[in-house]
Amino acid sequence: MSLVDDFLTSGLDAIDATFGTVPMVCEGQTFDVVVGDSTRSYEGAMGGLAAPTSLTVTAQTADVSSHFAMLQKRCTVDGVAYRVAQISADNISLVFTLEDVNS
Amino acid sequence: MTASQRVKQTIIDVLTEAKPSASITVVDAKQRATYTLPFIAVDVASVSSYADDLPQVQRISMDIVLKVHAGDEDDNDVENWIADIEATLDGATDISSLSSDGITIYSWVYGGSSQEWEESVLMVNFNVECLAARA
Repeated sequence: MSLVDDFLTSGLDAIDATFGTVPMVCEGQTFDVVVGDSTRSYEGAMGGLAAPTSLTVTAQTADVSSHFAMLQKRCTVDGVAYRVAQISADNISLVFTLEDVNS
Repeated sequence: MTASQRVKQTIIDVLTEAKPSASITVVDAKQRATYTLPFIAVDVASVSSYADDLPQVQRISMDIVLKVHAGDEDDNDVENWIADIEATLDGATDISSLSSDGITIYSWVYGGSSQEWEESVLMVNFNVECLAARA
């Protein structure tokens, strides 16, 4: 970790404290995330109604191991079920884009 | 309930009894509810009269779709599920003998399956056609 990483991590700590965190559980790991934007809608689909959902959450990279193994896996955020659709990673933060478990 | 709806419910009952995994839900494709993968959705694709002089006998084409997510299931499991479902649907004699509850099924022909991806969801389409009438 560089001094820049340390500086950015301290910024994330401040964001966690300011916005608050909720627990995310995926692939046997539990870690804190800050919840960002979310969308939800309904549409008809084969097999009944579908509920397309999108939620963005941010975790600290140091809190999670093997994060890319979580792609396409089911998870929960504060007890609500989602599926990991995309992960953007850098040295200090992980941004998970989560979708409905049927997506 | 129409003849085609009765056939649909019969197939839902058959597949629910013979589903290859307890994790699979068998559902009416048009039901107004949300379901979690994996599931088998059963739908009536089309209905037509079998013959002008036999209007009570209908040719009913059924769409039966297995939907599974790539992130959930092992490839071998899905292959085994497909084989099990095909074996069930190919049991034409067994299914056509299920005439009850106001419906007579005269014949049941399994027409094979095809597969397609919808993003990360694999959809296996099983096509069947039957001749049926209200009893």
